[in-house]
Amino acid sequence: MKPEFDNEKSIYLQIAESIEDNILLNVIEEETQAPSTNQLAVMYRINPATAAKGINLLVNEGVLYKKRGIGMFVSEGAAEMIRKKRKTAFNDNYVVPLLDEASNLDISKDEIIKMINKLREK
Amino acid sequence: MEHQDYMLEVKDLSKSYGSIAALEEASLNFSEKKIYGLFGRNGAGKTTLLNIITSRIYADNGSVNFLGKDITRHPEIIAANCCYMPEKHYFPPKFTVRKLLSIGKASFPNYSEEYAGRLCRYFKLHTEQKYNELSRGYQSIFRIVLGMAARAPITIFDEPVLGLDAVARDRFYTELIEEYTREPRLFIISTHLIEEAADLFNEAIIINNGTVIRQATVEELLSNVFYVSGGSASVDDFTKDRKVISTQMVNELKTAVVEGNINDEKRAPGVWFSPITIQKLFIHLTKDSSD
Repeated sequence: MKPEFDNEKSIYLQIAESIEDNILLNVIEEETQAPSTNQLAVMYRINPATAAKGINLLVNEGVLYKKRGIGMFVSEGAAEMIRKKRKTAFNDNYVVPLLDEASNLDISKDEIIKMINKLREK
Repeated sequence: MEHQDYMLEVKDLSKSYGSIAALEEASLNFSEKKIYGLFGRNGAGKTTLLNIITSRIYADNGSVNFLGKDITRHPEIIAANCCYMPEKHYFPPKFTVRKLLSIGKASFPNYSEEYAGRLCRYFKLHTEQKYNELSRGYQSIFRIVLGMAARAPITIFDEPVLGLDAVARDRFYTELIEEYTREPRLFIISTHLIEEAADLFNEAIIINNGTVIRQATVEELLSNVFYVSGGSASVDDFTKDRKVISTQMVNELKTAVVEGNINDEKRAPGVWFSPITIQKLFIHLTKDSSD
């Protein structure tokens, strides 16, 4: 889990993303128990309602599911689901700001591609 | 506002001290088992509001209802259900912490001695010390220990972290959330340290010049305001049909605080958007023209 939140996004979104990161990295495996609302609330010292909102977001997306009387579990196929969702958002979240900044700096498309290829070689 | 059963309903409270109006028709509601943050500048009316809610003083006008009953007529309800830790608390100065806690035990039916002991160890509060020998910070810690251990259905702290170092404040926030998950109840907490405490609350209440100007979740407050900056002509063009809370100019660069949801905004030429923090929002909402 990430140690602190930033001001760029709502806390509940950062809670959800943080759980997603852990699922993507397999820190929390599929079909195992996810952290509870209260655990997250105490860990980040945030209101439990905020933690619950983050968890509910993932339940609605099918990433987590509730086992009655036990708690939240990671769905089978959750990592793939998250990967798909993030690929869709990749354009808006990473490529658009990259091109914006490149345009501010007069960096051409060819130069950007060169930079990427150079990094890939490493 | 949607209908809800509130535990405490505060309606149109007014209170003046001589010619100075401390509260002017302040209205707000508290639900059972939620944590509320009360924010306001010095002299905004926070303490007056808390003193009236807890029947320490009377309002000139308006009412406070506890589960539908007027507390002015039934002050015993507050005595039985509320633990209020005011900023200034005049405990008998020669009494030791242990003695004062034993008085707390006798005063609050849900008081937990075991929990009080755990809190004293957690905050390193020495129970044999006399209250007037405690430092400012430790007097605050004592009020925290008593207020938490009392486990009253309504727990009110006025400036609980006054004089506490960063570690002790963090311990209080953590303990508050832990205790709330164990023993959910209504907490009302006033503080000037808005930014560091904001995430603790179900709802934030902003009081200014004796009036409640906002009551909402921090999330709602922040999703309705954002910064727009850029060249002054571009910013003016963007803000011309919008509600502007405040503006700032540095040479030709203008920044405006505007109402609206940043996520719904289309990228406009020559301006950029950024989110606001709760502390900055508070400052923009409560500063007056002389500031």
